[in-house]
Amino acid sequence: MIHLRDFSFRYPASDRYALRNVSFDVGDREIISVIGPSGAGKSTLGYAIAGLLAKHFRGGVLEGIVELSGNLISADPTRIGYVFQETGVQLSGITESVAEEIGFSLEQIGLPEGEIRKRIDEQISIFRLETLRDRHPGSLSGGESQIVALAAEAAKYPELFILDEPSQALDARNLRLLREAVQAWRRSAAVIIIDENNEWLDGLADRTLFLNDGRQVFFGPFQELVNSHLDLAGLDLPSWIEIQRLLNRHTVTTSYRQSLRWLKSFPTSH
Amino acid sequence: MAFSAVRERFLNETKGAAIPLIAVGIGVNLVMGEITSLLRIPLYLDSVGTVFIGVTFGPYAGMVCGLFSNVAAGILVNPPMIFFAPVAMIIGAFSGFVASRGGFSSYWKAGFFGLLQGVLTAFASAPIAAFVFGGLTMGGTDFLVLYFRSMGNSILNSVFYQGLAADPLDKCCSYLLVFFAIARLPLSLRSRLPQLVKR
Amino acid sequence: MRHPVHPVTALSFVLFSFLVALTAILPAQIGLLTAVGITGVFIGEWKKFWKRILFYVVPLDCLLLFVNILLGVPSAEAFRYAMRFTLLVAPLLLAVLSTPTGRISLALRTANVPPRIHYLFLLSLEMVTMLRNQLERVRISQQLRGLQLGANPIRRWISLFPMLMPVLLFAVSQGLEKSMAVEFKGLERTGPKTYLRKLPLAGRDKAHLTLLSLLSLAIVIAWGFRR
Repeated sequence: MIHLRDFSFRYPASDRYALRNVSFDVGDREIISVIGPSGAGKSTLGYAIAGLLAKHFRGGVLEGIVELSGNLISADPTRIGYVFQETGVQLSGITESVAEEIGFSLEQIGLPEGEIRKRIDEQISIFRLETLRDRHPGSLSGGESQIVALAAEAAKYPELFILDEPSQALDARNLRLLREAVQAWRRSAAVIIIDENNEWLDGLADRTLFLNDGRQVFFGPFQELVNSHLDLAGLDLPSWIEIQRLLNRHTVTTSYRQSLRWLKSFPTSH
Repeated sequence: MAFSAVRERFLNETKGAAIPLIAVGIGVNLVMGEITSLLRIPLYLDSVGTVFIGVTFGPYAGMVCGLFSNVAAGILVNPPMIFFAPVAMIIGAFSGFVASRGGFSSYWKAGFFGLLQGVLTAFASAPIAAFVFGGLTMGGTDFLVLYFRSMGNSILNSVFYQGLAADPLDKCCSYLLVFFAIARLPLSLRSRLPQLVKR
Repeated sequence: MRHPVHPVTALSFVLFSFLVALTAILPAQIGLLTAVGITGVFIGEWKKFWKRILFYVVPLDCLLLFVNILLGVPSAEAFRYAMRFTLLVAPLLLAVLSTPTGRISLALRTANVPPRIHYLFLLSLEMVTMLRNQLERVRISQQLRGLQLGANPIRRWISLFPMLMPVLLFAVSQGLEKSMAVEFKGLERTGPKTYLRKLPLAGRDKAHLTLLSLLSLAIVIAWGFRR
């Protein structure tokens, strides 16, 4: 579905590349997590895949190819669902209720009325937004706004989701809902999740792209990344991996599966 | 032919992605009024946002910003502001035009065109102020209108002279504020504003 | 008001009041002001309306009368200035205060106004609230850093830039981020839009519009005869 080849980008006002020679492919129903320390170029990669760089950073230097299903990428609202890092800018800012916010893009796309209502109800049910349905989006908390933004993008039924730091404002309950939703989306779409928090991504992503200083350090299953000898300092890794690495450092050799089994033997309330 | 070119440029300057920035200009216009009253500065400076959008997006975006600023001010602050929407549109168009011709390349040029903008504004707002308000707006410069009228001038001329005394300073300050604000914007933001990328 | 009028009706009323002000036919002016006064009692924001009338329109009317008479302008002409100001401003106040923004938004949708214009109109109102909040934050933080609002005039002038710049920076960065987010909202999609909520003209709005059209016609004819 997504084909990125030798992609490099330098922001207009910068003398260093934010991304350099990044190449990878994403399959039709694949979940990819993009990880890396702050300033690694994760959000820039999100913009690149969504086709925003050429249009919104016009003085920048762009090299390489980004294709979506064989076509050069463009920011197409019917094909791409993008959830931005900051929910304040994500919501339309002009709707009067959560239900209206979820239907906003669908109205603009011009779907039939019945279909819009059906999709609004569906997303409200998926994200358990029943109690917020008639609330003004301006009165929502950060986490609530984030969930509404996710629901609004999901309602478009895009073929590609790009989520930039979606876990930032979410509590455990909403993270669980998001995890379930992502698993449901993969039946018909590819999902790219850019996040520094890897705890909730554990076991969700098929492959992981590890960026550091704009360079592609690793692309493959997360398990392989963990078992590799790459320096993962600065990454917020799932706690079981941290424990495994700690044990390994003290010559207690375990595999991550062993560590997982060991961790699971603890009562969950602890 | 000319009409289609104008239409194309208008649509390009006011396309969907530009709308949030034009809304920013409108917001800045209204907030400037609060800053000046907070600091008790005897100027309006309520076209700083319009000038900023004119300079960074072009004259048509500036016009739209001016128009909607006065509509928003009419709804949120004082309804008679709506009457001055044409003046605000002229400010947006003129600042955009001047910027596209290099009028914001140095502070003295910006200051000079600000003064010129003030004269234009006085010229454009005088008939509106004379017709709607009878020349008096309960503003601080009403005494000038009275002075000029007592000298035997008509209402229109008196309002125009009063405008000439007040507007050039106000617009000169607005232009200079925008010039220095743009100069102080981080490159990462400045390089994303369409008219500034061209230069 | 239990049944607020349609924004189109409100706008037509404002335009009608402009016509009445322009033609300066005294009975029409008195009739219109009476209608505005009566309606102003029943609108939801009646307190705000009368406050503006009493503390803005009436004082300016008095000032106009006083100043013009002082300058030797015939009293009839001075009265005309005051009357014109009232006729242009009072109905506008009434229309603005009795039309909630939500209804204007619905009316714009119903009239198939280009979505970008509709979006700009509502977003600008939203942006004003956001920037006001930001200004308050900037004011507090700048004061904590030593900015003195009550200082001498030169210091106050110098403070202008430190107050404006953080607000502008915040606004521009928010605006630029939002301009990317808007790409995925479908505003630029050509073709018909589907709006779930619309605000068509009700029967009484149509009646109001018909009445206003007839009255406008009558006023134009009367004006022609007078000239």
